[in-house]
This record gives sequence, structure tokens and C-alpha cells, in this order.
Amino acid sequence: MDRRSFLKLSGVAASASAVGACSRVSQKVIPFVETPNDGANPVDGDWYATTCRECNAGCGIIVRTVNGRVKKIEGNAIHPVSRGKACARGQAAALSVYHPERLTSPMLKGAGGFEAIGWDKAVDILSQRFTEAEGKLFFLNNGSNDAASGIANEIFGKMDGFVSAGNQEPGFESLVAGGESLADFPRIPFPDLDHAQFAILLGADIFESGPSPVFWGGAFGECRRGRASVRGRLVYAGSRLSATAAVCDLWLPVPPGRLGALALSVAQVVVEMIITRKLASSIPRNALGRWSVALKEYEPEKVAAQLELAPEHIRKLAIPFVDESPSVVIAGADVTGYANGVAALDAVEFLNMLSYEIGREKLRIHERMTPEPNDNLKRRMAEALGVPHEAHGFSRLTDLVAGMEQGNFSMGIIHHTNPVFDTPTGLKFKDAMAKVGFTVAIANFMDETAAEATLVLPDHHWLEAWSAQTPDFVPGVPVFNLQQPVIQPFFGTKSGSDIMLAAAAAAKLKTPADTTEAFVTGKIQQFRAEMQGAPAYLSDNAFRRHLLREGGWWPAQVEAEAAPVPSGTVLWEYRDKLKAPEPEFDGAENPFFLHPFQTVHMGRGQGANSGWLQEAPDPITTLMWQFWVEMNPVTAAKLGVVEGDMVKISSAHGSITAPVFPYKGIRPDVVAVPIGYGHTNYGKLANGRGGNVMTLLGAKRDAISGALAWRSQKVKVEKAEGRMKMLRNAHPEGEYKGEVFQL
Amino acid sequence: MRILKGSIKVKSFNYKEDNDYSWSMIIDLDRCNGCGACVIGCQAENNVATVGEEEVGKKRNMHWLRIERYIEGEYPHVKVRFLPMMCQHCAQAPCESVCPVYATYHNPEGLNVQVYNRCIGTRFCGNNCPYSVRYFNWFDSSFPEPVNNQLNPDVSVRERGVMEKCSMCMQRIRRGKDTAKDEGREVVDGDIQPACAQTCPTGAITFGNINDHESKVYKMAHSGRAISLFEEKGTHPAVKYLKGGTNDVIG
Repeated sequence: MDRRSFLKLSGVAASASAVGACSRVSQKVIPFVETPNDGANPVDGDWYATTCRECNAGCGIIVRTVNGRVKKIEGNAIHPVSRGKACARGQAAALSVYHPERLTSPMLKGAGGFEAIGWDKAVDILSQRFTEAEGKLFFLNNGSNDAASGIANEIFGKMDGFVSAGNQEPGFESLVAGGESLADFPRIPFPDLDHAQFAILLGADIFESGPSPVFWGGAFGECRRGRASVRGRLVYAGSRLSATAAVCDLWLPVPPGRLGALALSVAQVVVEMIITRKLASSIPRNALGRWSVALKEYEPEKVAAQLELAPEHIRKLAIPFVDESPSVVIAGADVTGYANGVAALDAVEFLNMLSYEIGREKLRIHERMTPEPNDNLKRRMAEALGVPHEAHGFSRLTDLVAGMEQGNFSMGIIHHTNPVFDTPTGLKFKDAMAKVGFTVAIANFMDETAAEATLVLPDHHWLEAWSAQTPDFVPGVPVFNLQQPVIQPFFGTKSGSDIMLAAAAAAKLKTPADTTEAFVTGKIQQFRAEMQGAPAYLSDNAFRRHLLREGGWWPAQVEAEAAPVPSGTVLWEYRDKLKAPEPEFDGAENPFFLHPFQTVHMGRGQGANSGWLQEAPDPITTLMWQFWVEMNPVTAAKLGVVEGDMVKISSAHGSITAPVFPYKGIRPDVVAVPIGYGHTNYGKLANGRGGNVMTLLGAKRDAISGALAWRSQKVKVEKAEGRMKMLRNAHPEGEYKGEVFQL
Repeated sequence: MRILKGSIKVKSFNYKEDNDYSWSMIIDLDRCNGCGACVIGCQAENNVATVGEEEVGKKRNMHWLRIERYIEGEYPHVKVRFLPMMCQHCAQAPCESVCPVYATYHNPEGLNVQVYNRCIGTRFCGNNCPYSVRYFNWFDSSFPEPVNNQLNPDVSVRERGVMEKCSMCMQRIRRGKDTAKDEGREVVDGDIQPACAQTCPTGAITFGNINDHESKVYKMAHSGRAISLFEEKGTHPAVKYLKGGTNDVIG
């Protein structure tokens, strides 16, 4: 066929097909785009189960990889913490693994600043320092029980002078300490919100801060609308209407540090109701009488004034607490943030126990309510990687800093934590660090702490590394999380824990294994007998693969090792505990209470270098890329400022300036500042965004637990020079008024 | 799956009635806690670009899914509400009729689809959308090396001058149907989950085929709590919201 006839023929064919397709107007368009799936055939990729390490909650996740690249992070549906879901911070890790500012080469500080060195030299230096330190070293991490921390403990743990510590999220330590006297294994309580009908949240910002926003999110969804006939009701008391408070049905703006008194006042009404209605026969009558006397001073009429509520408001909590049982009380940052936090937690636990006694149906998980039958198993699992439970928290950190200042350490290893940035100025971590001869930072990014270290070792991202993790805040069942590399290391990094092992071996120290992977495998074999419900017929290797496939081990239900102690007996312990001490504040002469809070995106500042997290609007303010201070419009008017005006917030420890965001959901005597902003050395996206609220804090601690009382600071606020355009995603009151949508 | 052909009550163009699927999303406002996990989930799945501080200041951020926030009342009787807002996939979509090049059209499965390589960037659709959920690429997306390694291969990266918006994770719908076909079965309820519904910790977002009268979305849409946004505009969205509960205030 010649070219001419080909064109003729194809012309005829084309016009014929055009006529055929034109039978209806719409079809002329539709056939072209019948499958407009972007022209791509979706590939499934490979999914790996691992553990999210963005915070210490230990959510099981699955990661989608295509051609050896991380694409998407989702929750592991069978995992008891994440229940198939993931939060914003967890999902943003898919981006941080490819962050252009990841560290790629070991760096040693010389006279002219950091200098890149090779890995061999880094191991040499490290092993020489290990030999010289003779055990006089410390290992500081972010408070997680993971393989790296277990390895450090096993190498150095038996040496005199070694200290292992965790720079935990503020508040955890108090939550743990709150029930220490009652349980064999102290841990954060997870009241059974899933099955509760009525919940009182005492300053518990469970969707914004730890232990697991994802777990609590699932529990809240179940409580609210998980049952066909019951809509769970929640009440929030605290000085700021947080994103968690926003979903509650009622907000009670109680003055800072008074939530313990509120809990006791509710308890007073509940105890009287139990007595008059003859409820809860399992509680000894003499105990009821004793409580009734002890709680007399917390009658709603007597405490209403200091709580700035009407007595009916308190009854509005107490009466449904009995009538709409099962009920739970959850305490959080607005309780633990003050120096009287742990005392208030006793009141909270007391209420939870009363709820358990009067509940028409018993709630499933009432952690700490009674010593749990499986406390021992939980403790063994939480410590399975060799990290003692006591290693974490602010009191341990304070002791560590004191030791550093006295020159007790010739070396320190700082593993994925940034205490120079996220601990209060009053702790003086930076000064103490300078007194330690040689500090090693194992990190993914340059940050304020790594900048102060002598040697910086770029670690694998947790998506590239072997590890394991045992959360000590476990809802219900013991959990052993596995972390496996889902991709080959993308940059020229090496696993920090592998380097520690190599250097220790070179220093002729006894090491638990040659690699982190071998360490984790060894631990699985060691604890296999404890791992109930796992297939017994599998070989060790097959068992390991089974765990890798599932993401770790957790039983559906554990067999009880011992009978629980009757709660009546435990309740008796409370006879002398029902007290709510007055809150104490630093800088009491200043007019405003400082309310530092964690947002859903920044964490303690780790999220600040992620474009996704910076650009994601904050739930309450809908601000993007920006730092702010929240204050009541009344307060703003008194100070003569409007949205975007800069104010200076100062305490005896320091001062920051921030643009004002007037917010009606905050008490007029409180100013709220998000934590995690104000980086000075954390990359292009993070640096210079606002101020670090930690620079305003002393190191005031809880009277009982020694935890950081991070909300017990009063500050001065004054108008400062300048204005800032606030980058809101929404109108101050929402794009449209809520009534438009008739919500 | 039970599909009642011929008895479909979906308000739509007639060609849709012959189709097995009519995708719908139900968002329970009583469950939403505003945590923003869906926003990041969507961003990761759909290669949604970040634009940076300066462009955000010009309201040019690209989030296909945003969480509306409403603050009502005066202190201390304050109530804050959240409402996840994405393309509503209207059956009578105001954006479709104004596109001069048919870059936005209604597909047979009830989705409002944007065809990127047709779009010439008139932005008529964005102006006409009552929900403000269409986003225009003012610049070429910035996915510099090595960030581009995270890009989802199932979804194209949009270029400058193109309008984009929520696709209900078209690629996931496609994959769900492919998987079902490979396994020799029909798509069952829950097979397909857009990234936002998959990740929502509180379980506020449900996705499914509203033509299937056994599906969760069908039941929820008929639970009595369902509302459409701006119903008076007659857009008949495929996204429906379940109203919140009581609004208790102190007083």
C-alpha cells in the first residue's frame, strides 16, 4: 500500500468511528475519559509492618513501599494501640525519611566547628572513649524502651557510674506516679473510654499529647457513636478549651491547679449518692462513712467559689457520673502540669474506682483500679529490652544534670532527643552538657543538642532501621513491638545502635550481640515462652518471621497470673488520701498563668522541620507556619492588642515575643503558648519560627513525683513593637457561621 | 453485594442509573475531633504540594481536604466545632457546567472528576464552587530531590496552571476494583477506602457504594442524622454529614 491510499483508508475509518460515537451528546465526551485514573495503573507495592517511633506510644503501622521507596504510612489493623489508624505526625514520617537536611556523614567538632569524618574513624574515636570512660558515662534518650537503649544498658549497665535516663514528654511521670502505691507495675492509666457512657476529662488533652492520640481517638469514636442506642457524653474541665475539649459536650473553665478540688467535690456528691441510694454493696460501709467525713470540706457549696463555678455545675458532673454509669475520669496535662498534680490524681483514681463499683456493667480496662492480674507479665514485657522502668522521667533527668555539673561523667550519649531545646531553661541542660568532656549525639537531623555535641553520628531513620520497642503505656495487654527496615538506607547513614555495638566490641567490652538485628532476634527467643497465643509449632526462625509479619507480639487476651485484689480493699487505702493541696506558682506576683501546650503537629518540636506538618492548619487557630499566643479577647482588649499584634511574655527566666491570637475558649487570666516552636538550629523550615516557651520556665517540680510542673509559671505580658499577618486557614469564627450548616 | 438496578434514587444524570457504583462518603461530625490525620493522609496519598509560608499568606495552600473550624458563643459558653471539607462530588455540580474544555465532568460512578491534561486554567470552576474546594496550581509543584522519592506513583504530579481537587482517591477505587476482579468477586463494602477514611482515628469518615442498599454509607445516609451542605443550592453532594449531638452549655 502506498502512502496516499493509507491516508485515504485511515480517513474513512476515523470518520466512521466518529459517526458511531455521536449517538448521544454526553457520550461524545464520556468515552474519552471513562478511566481517567491519571493514566496510571495502580500498583500495590509492598507493605511492611513496623512500629511508629515519632512518639513513644508504640502504634503499630504498615508502610507501603514501591520500588524501594516509602510511599505511605497507615495503621496496623490488628495492633491494640493504633487499631489500624495513624495520626498526622506518624504519617508525616514518610516525608522526613527523604528530608534534604538529613545528616549523612559522622561529624567531629574541631576548632573550626564540625568536620566530616569517615565511619571507621568515628568507630575508632568512640571505642577509645568507651575504654577511657570506664563506665563513667550516661545514655539519654527520648524516654522509650527501645533496642538502642537496651543495648546501652546491657553494655554499660553493670559498670559503676553508668546512668540511663529518658527525656520523656512532660506529665507522663506524674500520671505513672499517680497510682504507684496501688499497682505492682506503675503505668499510665487507660480508663475504658470505649465502653463508657459518661466521661469527665480533667484537663486531659488526649488527642494532642501522649501517650497515644490515635488510641484515644479510637476510644472516643467508640464512646461517642460506637453503640446503636447510646451516645457517650463527655465533659471537659480545664483552663483552656483545647481541641480535645472542643469535642466534649460541656466545658468548665476551672482556674489553673484546681482540678483536684473539682474531682474531690464530685467525689463528695457521688459518695453521698452511694450512701443515700444504698449503691455499691461491695464497698465496706465503714469506709463510706469515713470518706463522707473526709470529703465534707469539698461539698460543692464550699469549693464552688475557688473553682469559680456554681454548685450546680459540680452536681452536673456528679449526678450523671452515677446515673449514666459506666463512667470514667481521665486526667491529663492540666492536672499534671501543676505542683499538686499527683495529689489530684489520687482523687481521679478514687472516682474511677467508685465508678467501677457502681457501674451497671463493668468496664473492660480499668488500669490501676486494682492491681492487675497481669502486672508481672506487663512489667517483664515493658522491660524485655533491658531498660529499667524507672529510667525515664524528669526527676531522673534532674539527677543526671546534677551529676553532669559535678563532673561525674566523662562521656555522654544522647540518642534521638533534644533536651537543649525541649527542657526548661531552669534545668540548665546546655551548661551541664558543656561540662561533660565528650558527648555523642545520635540523630537524624542537626538540632540544638547535636550542635553542642562533640561527635554527631547520623542514624538511620526509623523506617530504615532494626529495633524493637516496648511501650510502657499499654492499654490492657502487654505489647512487644518490632521495628524493621522497610527500605534500604537512603543516605549514607549507619544504625546508631550498630555503631555502639561495634565500638564497644573494639573496646573489648562485653556486648549482647553483634548487630541490633541479632539483639532483637535474641530478645524474641528469650521471651518466646512469655508470648502467649503465638503459634508454638513454629521454629525460632519461623516464629521471628511470624512476628515481623504481624509487627510484634500482643495477646488477644492474657491468662491471669493471679487473682485481682478486691477493689473494696484497695479503696480503703484511700482513707487518708482525699486532699487537694493549694497549687503553687513560680513568679506568683505576675498577673497571667502561662499555659504551654502541645499541638497535634509539632510534638515537642520534632515536627517543626516537616513541610507537611508546618503547613497543616492547627485545629483550633487554623494557623499555618506560624507561632502564636492565645489569650481571651477580653484580655487582649485590656492590653490594647488585636490579632497579629506582638506581645512580650516574660518571666524571671526569660522572655519571648509572639503574635496574639484572640480566642474565646480560654480563661481571661491565662495565656496559652504552643510548645515546639522557636528552633534556632533545626533546619530551614524550623528556624526562627516564633519563640521557645521552655525558655520561660524554671524547673518547678511536682511535690510527690518530681515531674516537671510545666504549667506552674506565672508571667508578665506587655504590648511589644510590631505586627504580623496571621496565616489563618479560616475566618476567625469559621469560613461560614456554624448555623449556616445547621450543625 | 445487592444492587437494586432500576430502583436507584440517586439524583443524577440518567447515565448513572445504569451503573453499579455510586460512590458516597459519610462524615460523622459527632466523631470528628479535628486532629488533622486525614489532612496529612490525603497529602501523602495524592502528592499534594506544600506551597510555603509566603504563598499560604495569599491563601494558595493546596490541601484537598481541610478541617473547617467554627467557634460559637461567648466565654464561658463557647463551643468549637470541626467539619472536614473536601470536594463534595455534587451530582449537579456548579463547577462542571462552566468548564469550557470539559476538564471537569461527572463520571458514571457519581464522582466529579478533574482531567488534568485538559485543564487550561480558566479557574471558572473554582469560582463557581460554593464549597471552595478546588485548588489552582499557581506554580510548578516543588518536589525537589530527594523529597520526590515519596511521591505516590499512582497519582500524577500536577503542573502549573492546572486546577486540582479531591478525587475520592480514584486510584484506590481503581485498585479495589482491580483486586476484586483478580479474585473473581465483586467489590464488597469496605474494600475501598480513600486515604482520609482509612486513617481517621475516630472512625468519622465512611466511604462506600450508596447504590448498594446493604452498605454502611447507605444506612448512614438514611439514619436521620444526615445532612448535605448548602442543600438549598441544589448541588446534591455525594458527601453527606451526620449532625452532631447535644450542645450542652453551662448556665
